[in-house]
Amino acid sequence: MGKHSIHYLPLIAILFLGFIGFYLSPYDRFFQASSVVASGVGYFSWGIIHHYVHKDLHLSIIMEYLAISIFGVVSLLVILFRT
Amino acid sequence: MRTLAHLSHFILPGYSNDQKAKLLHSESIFMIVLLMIVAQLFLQFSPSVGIKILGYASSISVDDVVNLTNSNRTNAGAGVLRVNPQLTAAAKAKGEDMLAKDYWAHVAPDGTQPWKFFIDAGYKYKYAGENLAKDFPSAGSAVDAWMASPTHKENLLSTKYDEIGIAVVEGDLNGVDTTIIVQLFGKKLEGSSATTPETVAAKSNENTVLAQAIPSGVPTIAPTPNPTSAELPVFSQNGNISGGTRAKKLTSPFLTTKTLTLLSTGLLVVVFIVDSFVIAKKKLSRYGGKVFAHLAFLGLVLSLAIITHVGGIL
Repeated sequence: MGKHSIHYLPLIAILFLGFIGFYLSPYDRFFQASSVVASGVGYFSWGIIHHYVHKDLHLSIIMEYLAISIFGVVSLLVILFRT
Repeated sequence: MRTLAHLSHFILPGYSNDQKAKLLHSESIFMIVLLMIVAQLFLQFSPSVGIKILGYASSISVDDVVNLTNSNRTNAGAGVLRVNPQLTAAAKAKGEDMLAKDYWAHVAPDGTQPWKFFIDAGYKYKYAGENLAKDFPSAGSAVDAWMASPTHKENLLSTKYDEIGIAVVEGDLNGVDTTIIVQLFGKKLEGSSATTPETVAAKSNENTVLAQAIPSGVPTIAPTPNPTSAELPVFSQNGNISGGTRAKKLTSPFLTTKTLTLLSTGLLVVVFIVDSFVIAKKKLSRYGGKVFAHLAFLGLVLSLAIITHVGGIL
């Protein structure tokens, strides 16, 4: 991270908001699912923008963020589906 | 030896995996996602082909539901509800109807309204309300869930009701052993002259609690005796009384899914850490995403999976 730490603040903010949204709506499954999807989209978008700004955006990196974001969203949605 | 090399290929960076643990390659992660979806499909459809491997464990006391409800009402100054046998019978009938017709909703797929069960049980209401809960591990967690939901809380604490009926019904819901708590509230229509009932906000949204005033013209009945102090039963799907509590040790679909998520996410986190540690130690420069960002996101996934708890309310 180093001197580029400030670039991670939006990511931390996105994930924090996702956590708060999920935590504060314990029995509203729709809102919880929305928080999860928003966090996944936010994380993916942050990754694309971050690497674009640093001029090292490549298809393999896009796929890496896409795979992890889909993994996270699906992992949580299947739990919510089972509650 | 060969097994170790194979394991190393998946969790450590090296020549065989282009200096990145194979498990962290995008195609591997997509494969994990695919396996998770297949596992869910198996959990979902195995009951329909006769495979019953899942169930739900709970220990719910009807008395506890009543006592906790009244405790919350007392704290809110709403007054204690009396247990009414007719409402209890109506609650049992509603629960069994949900199991028999495989639905989890206030209104049955065939359009049967919750109020029908009140009338069928001989309870002519001035006001009526219904809270539903399923798959909670205890009475306390179910009542807490209702209290955490503004619409359910409004029903639970409403001063328009003075009687309550509870049933804990267990059985097969869409192929999965399920415990349903039906909580009915009511106030009897006093005397046949009361033809203009007061209005209660009716929330007919399928996802919210229901509360309704009686339609005009419904005949009244004589009040039933006041509360029964007998220990309330728990009804099973076939109508047998199974006692005040039950504790059946089976595997919960929720816990199975949650465990799979925790294990797979935890595995990815560990491999990401080990992989980046080895790369740093080898002083290799690698083209790829930011490990800190991946770990932060996977940390969120782990956190949310941990705090998610079983149980649904309507």
